[in-house]
Amino acid sequence: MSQLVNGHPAGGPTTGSRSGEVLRVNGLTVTYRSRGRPVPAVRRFELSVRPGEIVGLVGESGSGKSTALKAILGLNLGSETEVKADEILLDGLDLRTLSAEQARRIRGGQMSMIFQDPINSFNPSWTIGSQFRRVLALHRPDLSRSEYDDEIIRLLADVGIDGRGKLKSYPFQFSQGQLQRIMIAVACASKDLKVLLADEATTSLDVTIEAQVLELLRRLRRERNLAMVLVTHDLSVVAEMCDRVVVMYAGEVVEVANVYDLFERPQHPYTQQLLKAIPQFPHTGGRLYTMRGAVPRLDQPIAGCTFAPRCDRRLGSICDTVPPELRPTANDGGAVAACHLVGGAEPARKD
Amino acid sequence: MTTSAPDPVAPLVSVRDLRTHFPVGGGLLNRLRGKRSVVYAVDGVSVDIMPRQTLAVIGESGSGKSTMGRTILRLIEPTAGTVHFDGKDITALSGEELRRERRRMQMIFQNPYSSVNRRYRLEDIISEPLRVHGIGDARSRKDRAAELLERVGLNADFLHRYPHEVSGGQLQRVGIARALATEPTFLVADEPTASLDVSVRAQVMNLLADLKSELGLTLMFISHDLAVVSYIADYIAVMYLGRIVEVGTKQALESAPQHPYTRTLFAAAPKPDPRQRRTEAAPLGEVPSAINRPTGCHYHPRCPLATEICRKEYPKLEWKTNRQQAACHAVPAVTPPPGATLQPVVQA
Repeated sequence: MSQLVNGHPAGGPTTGSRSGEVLRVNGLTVTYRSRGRPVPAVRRFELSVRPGEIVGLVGESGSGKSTALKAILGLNLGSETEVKADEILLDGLDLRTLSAEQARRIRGGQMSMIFQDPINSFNPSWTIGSQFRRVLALHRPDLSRSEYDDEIIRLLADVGIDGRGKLKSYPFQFSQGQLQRIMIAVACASKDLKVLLADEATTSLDVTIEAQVLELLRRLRRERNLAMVLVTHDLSVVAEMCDRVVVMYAGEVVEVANVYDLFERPQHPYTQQLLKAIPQFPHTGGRLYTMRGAVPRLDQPIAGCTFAPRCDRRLGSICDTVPPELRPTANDGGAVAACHLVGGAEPARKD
Repeated sequence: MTTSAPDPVAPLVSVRDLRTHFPVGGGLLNRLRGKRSVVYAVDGVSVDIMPRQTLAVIGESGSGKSTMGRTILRLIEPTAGTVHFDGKDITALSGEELRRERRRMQMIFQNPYSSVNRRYRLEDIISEPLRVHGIGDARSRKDRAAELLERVGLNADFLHRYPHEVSGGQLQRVGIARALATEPTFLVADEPTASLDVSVRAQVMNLLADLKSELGLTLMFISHDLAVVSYIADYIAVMYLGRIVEVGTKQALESAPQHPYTRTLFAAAPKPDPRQRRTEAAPLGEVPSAINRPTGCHYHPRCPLATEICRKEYPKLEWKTNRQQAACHAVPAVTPPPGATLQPVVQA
């Protein structure tokens, strides 16, 4: 079912399918503490990814997308931060029940993450070779120590970097684009890798380098059938790369749809307004559409829909008092949206 | 040229053969050995900006676009070349004279948080240029700060707040208000929306467009975001390794980019439409170092059209259509037609 033709799922989108998922998250909640007050940064989060599928996780700063991703991978979010979930399944394995040592083997073993800023993701005072060897020591029991350097050269060649004679180089001796590729090579070093999480992985790159890195990610998906979750605020990257999209606002999932439906028939007003706000190149027409207001603060409880104050299609008092649940939309394949306009008070508009 | 009323068609800013070179590797040992390399950050840029027009400067990291913007304002001293502002050569000014001219040219920075003093209230941030230039008294400066805040869409409640108490988008508005405090005619905006979310970016861009038309501002807008550039620019200059490789009207560049680098840059930008996924292979290579630049045309190692001459000779910036100039051996030049709307630009 995850057969890919030219990078697109062969069958129709199967958002609601429970079978063949490599990653499934349900009911994820992450609560930070700020000045003693709880800040629920992620609430009722859900995500499912099939092998070979690229899912985009989009939203503005503060929407909780990076936090959700880090919580899934079990990264340390601070001692006062509370992470709860009904379900975090990686290929059937319940990640909530792992010991610290087991979790460490999963991270970088079956599920890896790449970050926005490659220069800060490496230790500046260690050579690339020594940092790479540590990862192999942890995740490649099939290799003996003497085989490490050959394997590193091979993995680097796979991401388009000639590593010969460069293993003793330090991170600063590489360009940003090269470091991003090296980070991808490190993240994909394990043979068991199933899921690659990318947190704004191309945001700080120039467009020509971004295009190269995106092409590399597409090739990895094709060759290794990797599942990927791309966290980004750049909807152009989503359009370019993703099969399915999860839109977050103020800590919650507000819409899930396949990428074509999301761009052509967005159901949630936030998605609609976000798409309208993207400046086009070349620009035609007049002023840019702007969304009024700002992302709400999460340290105070919000009654009703978190997007209501900025919504162009607000229905009335129901939006201020009743939080909308995720419900199936008019889009195919189990697409959902959390809006009173959807599947409830009024049939969703289909253009 | 004198300082009297400028000719209506004369450029407000006229840059000629501007060069900004930074020596690097300046350790004592290297100096004794006479080994010092040079970063050719800006290397022979000539460009005119007409009054009330916006020149957008695009290019990748390391192209020298920010250094050029700062050198034009003399925040960085040029190595060579001249910048005429309203007819006056500001590269020859110093002391009080330079300070007086600086009132009329201001800068908006990329990162609002790192370009303000975090211990200042917004009122002090906005009125600082007035204090520096000795304009008005405490009372009038406060009024002016409130007026400027309103001008950028914030109310007077913000006067007493500190930078950490407002959002990134609001602080960028404060940065714009500060730049407007001395009533400048020329603004250099260096990636003013790069750190902002898409919804906030649109607000700031609309504000800049409004200010430009209402205050009659002349703008140099430095950005790598083509969509934002397309919204605000009248002219576009494309930089690569310290030089302008193509310059012309926005419409000309967008409809028919002439330089292969401009074409690559435009094609590389992902489009917000899943039905327009790129089908071509990603562009080759990376921007080379500005210390060891390739011989001849700096772009030749990445260029699909490169031939023998490109490896040997840097191409002249020539008219390729009647509305744009480019520096490329592979694209035939045209005779600049008399009705050309773009000011002729000379390249050394």
